[in-house]
Amino acid sequence: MKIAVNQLADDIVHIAPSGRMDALGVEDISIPFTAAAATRKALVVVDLAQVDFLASVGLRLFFSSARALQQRGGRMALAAAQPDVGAVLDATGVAQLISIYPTVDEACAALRGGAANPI
Amino acid sequence: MHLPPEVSGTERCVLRGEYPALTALARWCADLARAHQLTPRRAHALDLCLTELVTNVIDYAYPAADPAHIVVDAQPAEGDLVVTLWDAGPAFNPLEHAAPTPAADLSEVRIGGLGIDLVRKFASRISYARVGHWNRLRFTPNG
Repeated sequence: MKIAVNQLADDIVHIAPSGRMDALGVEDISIPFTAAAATRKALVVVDLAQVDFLASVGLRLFFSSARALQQRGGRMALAAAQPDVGAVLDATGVAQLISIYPTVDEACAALRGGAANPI
Repeated sequence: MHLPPEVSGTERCVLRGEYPALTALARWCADLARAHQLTPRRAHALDLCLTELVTNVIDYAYPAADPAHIVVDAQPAEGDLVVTLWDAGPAFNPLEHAAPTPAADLSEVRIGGLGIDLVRKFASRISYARVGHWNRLRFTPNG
């Protein structure tokens, strides 16, 4: 897997992993992902457009990072999931814990507005 | 190499029990889906369930220094597909483990058990048996 991290103009961190998020793929990106998503107070959008497969090991990375981020006063949102990835998010009830949006723009708008706090 | 009994009409994939095998497994799933014209939904369920189960075997059943083999058999039947996963680890029935209770917030999330939970949701007719020194898990990926 590869990962691109960009700081958007309005102080949102945009993280775009790409590839297959199984145990092998997560090994490649877990350190830069955690560094970008979980080490300081930030608004983080994880752009899933280039993730073509998501296994539970990827969900664990999202949960552990979102939890660390929340403890620092930040928030995470997931966006732009492909259908197979969306099916895994739906089946595991991720939306109860991490907000999910159809597009990166919608995720950014919600994070800026403070709406990306699930429940 | 001692392998579990093979039934005629099945397609077999033999993997070494370590992470690089996941790449070969994904390719085998894609080839199988193409050859048997599985729906995209069933093809994804096949890939997801096998990825979860094989990862669990690598992580928990086999010593890292000396991984044994993992064998996957697929038996297509009238638009259906019966998949059998064999591993030579200690006897272990993943179905005996209760599904995780949904967490109300992030601090409560249980990190373990997510993989088998996904298998329960993306497969049906899941069964376990101990056959000789093999664990045999059988399922049909949902289409």
